Amino acid sequence: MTGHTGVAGPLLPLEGQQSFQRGPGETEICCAGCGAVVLAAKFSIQHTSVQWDAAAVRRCAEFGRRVAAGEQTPLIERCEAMRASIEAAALDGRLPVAPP
Amino acid sequence: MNGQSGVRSIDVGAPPSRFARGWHCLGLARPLRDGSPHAVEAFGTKLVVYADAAGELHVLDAFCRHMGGDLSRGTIKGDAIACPFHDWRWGADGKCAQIPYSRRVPPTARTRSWRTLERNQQLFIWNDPQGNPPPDEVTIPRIEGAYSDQWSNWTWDSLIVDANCREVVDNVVDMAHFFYIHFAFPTYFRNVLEGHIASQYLRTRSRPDYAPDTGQPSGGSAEIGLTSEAAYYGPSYMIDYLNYDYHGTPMDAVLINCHYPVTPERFVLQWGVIVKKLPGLTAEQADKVAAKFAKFVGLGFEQDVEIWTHKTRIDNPLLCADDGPVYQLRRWYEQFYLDVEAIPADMVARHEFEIDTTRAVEAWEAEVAANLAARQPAPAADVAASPL
Repeated sequence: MTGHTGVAGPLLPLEGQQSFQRGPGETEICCAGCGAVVLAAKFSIQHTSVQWDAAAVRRCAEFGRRVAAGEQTPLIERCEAMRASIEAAALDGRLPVAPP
Repeated sequence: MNGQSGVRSIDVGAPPSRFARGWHCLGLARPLRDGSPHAVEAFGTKLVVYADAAGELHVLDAFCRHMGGDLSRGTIKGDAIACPFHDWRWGADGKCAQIPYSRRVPPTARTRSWRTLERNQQLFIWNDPQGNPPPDEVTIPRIEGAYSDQWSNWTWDSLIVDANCREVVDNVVDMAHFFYIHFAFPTYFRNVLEGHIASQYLRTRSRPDYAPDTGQPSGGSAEIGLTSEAAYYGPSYMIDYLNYDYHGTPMDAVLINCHYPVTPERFVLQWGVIVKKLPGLTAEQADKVAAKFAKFVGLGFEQDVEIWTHKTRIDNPLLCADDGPVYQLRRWYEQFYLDVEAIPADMVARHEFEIDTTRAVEAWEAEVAANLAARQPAPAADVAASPL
């Protein structure tokens, strides 16, 4: 298993979180807003694939606010802060942009 | 074998031997309250749906545990369903309540009673091969329009499909088939899979080279924009919130796309539509708008069925970089066929996938332009593209 460990970011990843095998082209991205860590891949500038684990969903500040307001995370289209962090990583080359 | 190397093999796999855990919609509730028992072939057997004296709907296995009579051919007597063979009376809890010609009811006289839910004017039953009740969070959400006089009545239609029901679920991530099968032109396509919910966010415009109300080739139909937010709640019930352009006015509609299995290789596909009444429209006119939209949705499903009944089951689809997350969707769907204790965390963890439609839109615009150039102009039609 590929753990979400040793990732630079404002907060260290939570202990005991589930972690998944990394797929082709997937890179760990840490949200600049709250420190939630996901595996992201981009086959092109427009395309994005994001794999969350339960700990990242719990840690996400935007999801937390919206869940507190009565929403369910599966029905939230995206977290805008995570999207911005992924786009920034693609722009500065930390996240490769290429088909698998 | 002909000795060619590098040829891709199709793994046809096999349909699952059990049926999905989850709420399954059997149809609109009201027609089931007509005083007669109703037969439903589902989950590998036959079921009977009947309303008790208070009008509450109940679902039991149809075959009487006495001598195998068909309760759906019987009679409702008070709160029980009476077998036509020997008048054994079965109650909503599955227990035999009375055998009029016998001194006592055998203590083992118990049949399978299905847990029911009535919501959105529809009847649901809970299937769980493990026999557990549904967890609180696994339910069918309320659709506000289904309880409002500002909305039309439900349309309701169904088709029997000779295929495993995974085929219809696959559609939730299949961006490109909208163009080829449903004459829609996806410009935005995103999926979110998490827990027991699978969502699809879609924006399309209709294809100007096909009349959107008939699916017939056209020389230049008006392009109609549509936004759709759809989600499966469990393995079989999708609610699709739609907004489309109706003669220049934004129209809100809700489409239900649901199914229940008959056998591992047959399912009943059902769809229903409600539309929000536009200002000035009567209830009858709103129902007509809903019926027109439902008819178009039905055309789309008939095209799906044509594909499903001729294609092979394929467990190893060969995907390109501009396809949706078919493997992730199927992994999400597999949870409903496993014992709950056996579901791995990554099977239900949140997965987001947004397709780059740039290349597809370029190719499709060129194809549409070529089709239009080859055709005579035709009058514009007025129904939005199918969201399915």
